[in-house]
Amino acid sequence: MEKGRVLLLSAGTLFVLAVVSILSLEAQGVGEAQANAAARADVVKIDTMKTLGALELPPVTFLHDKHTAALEKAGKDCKACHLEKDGQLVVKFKREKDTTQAEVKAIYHENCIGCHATMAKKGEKTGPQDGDCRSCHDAKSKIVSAKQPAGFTNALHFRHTETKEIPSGLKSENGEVAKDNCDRCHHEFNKETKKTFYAKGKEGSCRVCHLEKSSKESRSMAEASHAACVNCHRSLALKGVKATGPVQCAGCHSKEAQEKIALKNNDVVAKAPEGTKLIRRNQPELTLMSIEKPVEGMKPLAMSPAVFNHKLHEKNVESCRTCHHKGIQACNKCHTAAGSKEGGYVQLEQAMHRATAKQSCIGCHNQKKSEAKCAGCHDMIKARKTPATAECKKCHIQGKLVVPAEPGGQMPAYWNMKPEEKAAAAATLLKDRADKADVFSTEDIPEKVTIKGLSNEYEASEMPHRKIVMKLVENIKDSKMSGVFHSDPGTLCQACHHHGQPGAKKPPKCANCHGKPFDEKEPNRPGLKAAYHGQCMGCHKAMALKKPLNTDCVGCHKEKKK
Amino acid sequence: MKRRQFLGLLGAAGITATLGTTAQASTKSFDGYPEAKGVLFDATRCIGCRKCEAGCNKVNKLPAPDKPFDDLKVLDKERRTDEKTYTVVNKYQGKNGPVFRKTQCNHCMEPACASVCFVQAFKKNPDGSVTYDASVCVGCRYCMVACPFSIPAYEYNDPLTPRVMKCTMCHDQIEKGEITMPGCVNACPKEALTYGKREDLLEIARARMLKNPGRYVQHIYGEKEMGGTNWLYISGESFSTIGMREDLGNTSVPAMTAGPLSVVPMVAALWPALLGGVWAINKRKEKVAEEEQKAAVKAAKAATKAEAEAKLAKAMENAERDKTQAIEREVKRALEEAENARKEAEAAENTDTPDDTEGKGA
Repeated sequence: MEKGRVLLLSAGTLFVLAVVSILSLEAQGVGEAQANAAARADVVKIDTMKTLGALELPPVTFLHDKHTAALEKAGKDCKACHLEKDGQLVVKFKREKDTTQAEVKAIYHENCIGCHATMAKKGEKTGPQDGDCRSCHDAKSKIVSAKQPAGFTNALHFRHTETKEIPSGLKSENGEVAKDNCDRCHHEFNKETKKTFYAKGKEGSCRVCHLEKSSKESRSMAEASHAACVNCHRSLALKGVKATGPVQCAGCHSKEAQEKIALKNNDVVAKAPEGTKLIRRNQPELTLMSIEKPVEGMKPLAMSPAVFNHKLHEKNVESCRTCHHKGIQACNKCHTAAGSKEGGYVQLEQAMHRATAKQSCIGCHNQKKSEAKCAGCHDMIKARKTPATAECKKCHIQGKLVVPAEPGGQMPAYWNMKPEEKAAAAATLLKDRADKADVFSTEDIPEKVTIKGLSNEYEASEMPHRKIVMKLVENIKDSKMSGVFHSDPGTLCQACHHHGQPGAKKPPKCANCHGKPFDEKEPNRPGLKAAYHGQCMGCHKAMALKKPLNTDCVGCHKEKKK
Repeated sequence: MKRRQFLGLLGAAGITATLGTTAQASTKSFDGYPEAKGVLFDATRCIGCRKCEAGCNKVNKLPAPDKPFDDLKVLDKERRTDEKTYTVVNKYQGKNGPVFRKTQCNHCMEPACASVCFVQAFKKNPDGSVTYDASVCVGCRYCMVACPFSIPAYEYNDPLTPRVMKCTMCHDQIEKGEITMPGCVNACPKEALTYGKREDLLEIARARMLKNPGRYVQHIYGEKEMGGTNWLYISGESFSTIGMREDLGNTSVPAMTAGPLSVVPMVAALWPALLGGVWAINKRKEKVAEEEQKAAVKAAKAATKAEAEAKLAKAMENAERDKTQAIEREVKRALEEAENARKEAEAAENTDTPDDTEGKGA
């Protein structure tokens, strides 16, 4: 019994110790309160010191909006954490530069924990204190970042150029403020004087110089954009301007805020007078896209230039960077015919035609094919790596670049043409190109097609053929691009009436090629039943049709009464 | 002697064990029957209409299900094959909407069920199917334990003649010529199931992946899993999304157990004989040594005894001799003393009376 009593006593002591520790000494993780899996847009991972040396503890998951809200309640503003330099807030925390790991660490710890300690003394609910290292340096933080990249689209840019709240800093000779306020944001960088200056006509995207990571030459895009944008929004807000941009993280980076901004953008653009250009950068409306000037003496073996409607394409992209991904200039400046270092050795042919690239012509057109309106047919058409030869003339309207037979004959030097000449040539060529979608006449499109070859458990299927074709015609009506590619009347039929003579008015029956399934000689050709179902259901699924559902058998063919 | 005996046994056992394993590493390998057929399931084509289940039910004359086959609400719960259902279709959540997968026996190239069945109730046929013979089954259900896909089901409710129930790839019906392809394959409206030679199916699967870049996960499930199966799967979503085990590895169950099992004949037959023989020899040696020892001890004992007896006899003899001698000596002495006493008495008498011949003296 002696041993039992000792055990009981020690167990009891341990239990009391545990209870006391948990309740009064708070021997538990303070950071557990953050274990809400809700996604937030203001998550900042503080890992600045990574560039200054190896990290001892995991990066800190910092919730910026949470702190700004708390400081606002306490009557404080951005200056509580951000220093001011030349009237602008420095986006770094309580410092202008990253010096050494020890110094930066001290700044963070003293100021963060210091503030928390001050608040705790006042009895307010605050963040982790000294000793709660892992509450901030949480490797397994359950907080998910829902930060969307804050895209600056042409429409948003338009709002910035049109507003009166951002006047230009330049004055003309007679003292009038310049009309265009480009100089307020756009600048070039002088490497010698290490100063920025405004260069008219050279305005481009910030991301040409401000890349993902900071470098010796330029700050990262994140730093630069926050320093420029948030500061300007804030100073306007301090002046009392209501129509200013967001200052909180979620104001630009959350999905909801972006949807709201997009709506407002569309609103402003729609209200703008007809023919207003969103970006005024002397861009051409019509132009020719050709190879660069060939090397002296070499015959340019190429296609004739592609006619390009720049104005139409501008309307269909969100920002110039969609195509001008490295800077506002012609593609062939970097993407030469043979490839160059500036172009990443991507030749002009690839830059224009690569079916999988987002910036290439063909690649972008292919992306359009995956929209629900178009996917019904295009999902089932085999993806091509290179465009079909018959399609070249849709863009290269004259086809191959014809080398003159007689010696000394002048090559049309498209690369040397002035913009006005190019536009005129383009306009002339466009007259030869059909750009309206076309189908066969209504009498030639059968109204109903009865599919009864396999009827066994079900009756014959009465397919509303003309109705379907007309719906497809309606889908491609609005797009000029699809008009160009579907200008041949037989083209639209090709998705279903495939592998036959394109443009035939009376295509062959499906059963002419599709018969018994699992034919060893034709392993990739489905049998007739699967051909019908695969074709119809594939289209319905790609277009996300709710009626008829693929599993609704009687929706297409009635059940046979026994 | 005991330590050496132990080491000897160990050596014998070890050498025979190594002999056994080298015999296993033969150069012949079997890659499956060349004409074996299989089925390719394309998860991107399946729409979850359950016509395959209906087709299987009809062709195999299975009992009618609780809910009809056109009831698609059953897909909301994940089902498994049971004794009345050779195959089920299950619904899973994919990236862009639901995806479906059909479950049934995968007709492995080296089936686990056939391997563990000690009465050979399962047979891998040359046509690729794995079929079950109820007439020899004892109902141990090792096959259910062994199957990595948990497919075989059992007729627990049948008390007298319960059977293991699983997909047969319609082997009997196809052999008899009633149908040309399994019931499920025939019923599928989308040709999500393709029936053909296994080699051809692998080529078809690869061709589909090549023709549609980005549409499929670049892996044919069943090509190598568990040593290869005759039911192959390709999918647009990851295989774990559609409820398939990705942790099975490429070794078939027979290959896993072949190593230890190959040792059994040796352990059961050779070791008893060999080790028994070694032990018997040792025991005999011991016995002989013991006997020799016993004999030696006995001889030594007898020798010692004889020696002791001889010594004793000699000692006794000596003692006897001594005793006689002593007696003689004493007698002699006594005689001498008596003689002397007489002589003295005589002498004394002589002095006393000159001639006393009458009367006294004697």
